[in-house]
Amino acid sequence: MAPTQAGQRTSELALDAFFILILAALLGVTANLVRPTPLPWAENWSHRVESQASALGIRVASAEQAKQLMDEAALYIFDARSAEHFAEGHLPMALSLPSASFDESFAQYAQLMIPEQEALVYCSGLACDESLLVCKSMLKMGFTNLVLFAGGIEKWEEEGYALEASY
Amino acid sequence: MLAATLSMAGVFLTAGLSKIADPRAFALIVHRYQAVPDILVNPIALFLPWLELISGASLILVPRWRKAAGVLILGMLLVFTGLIVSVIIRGIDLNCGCFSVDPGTDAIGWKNVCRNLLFILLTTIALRGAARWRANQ
Repeated sequence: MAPTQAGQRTSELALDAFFILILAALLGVTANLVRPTPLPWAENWSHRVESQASALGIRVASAEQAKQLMDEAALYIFDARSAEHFAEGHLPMALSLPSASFDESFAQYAQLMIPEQEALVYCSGLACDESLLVCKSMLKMGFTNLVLFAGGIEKWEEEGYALEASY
Repeated sequence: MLAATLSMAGVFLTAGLSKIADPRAFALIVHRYQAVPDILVNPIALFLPWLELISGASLILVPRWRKAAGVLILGMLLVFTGLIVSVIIRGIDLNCGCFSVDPGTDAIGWKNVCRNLLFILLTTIALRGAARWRANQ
């Protein structure tokens, strides 16, 4: 293929790709506009977990507040991450309660807890919503005295607090 | 080549439709990948499914756009595969969001990487067919 012909084909290819991209953008915008509840173009995802927890009546704790609660009160501490991540390092005295297997995992703890029992739930950090999912599941089962530590493992380590490991 | 083209068209049509139906659920998945700034999460959730849909449809319905669609699909697959590997390495637990926004689907793993490598191979085959069609025009 002659160079000018190759260049022409490349230009046509780029133009075709551009048209596809523009069409996708137009349809995306239009579809969102006609939706009954459009998705906002900008959203504060970093604090989404905290704002949803507050809306559900779940208390939200900072790392310092979580540490204070753990030192002063008798509460259950649940780690909503996978069992593998829990084993690598978790908050002191925490129990593994993966959100992906909540029903099977929580059964053993539910037998030991009363509905008014205070429980703190966390996962890896602000971008993780597994702790919120666990809180929602616990709320459905009648456990309402919940504290969400949204900052999770990331904030805990940032504050210089120690983790425990299971192996 | 026809089988590869039809397969990849089906894959991306399916992928796009599932996310167009529930952009909020898909936006949550995009956020959970922790790969883009918050400000880009919702625009990506609104744009990407339509790009998948149109690219998949173009593979079979718009012969003139077939090669461009194939290139875009290949680009998306390379990016998606890189993201999946990144998630695995960073130890983030989440479902792929590739064909379903249902949070109950299996968590990401190396099987997703293997599947995407197969898709990349099929797309490459489909692209060769598209290039041949183009050359005959």
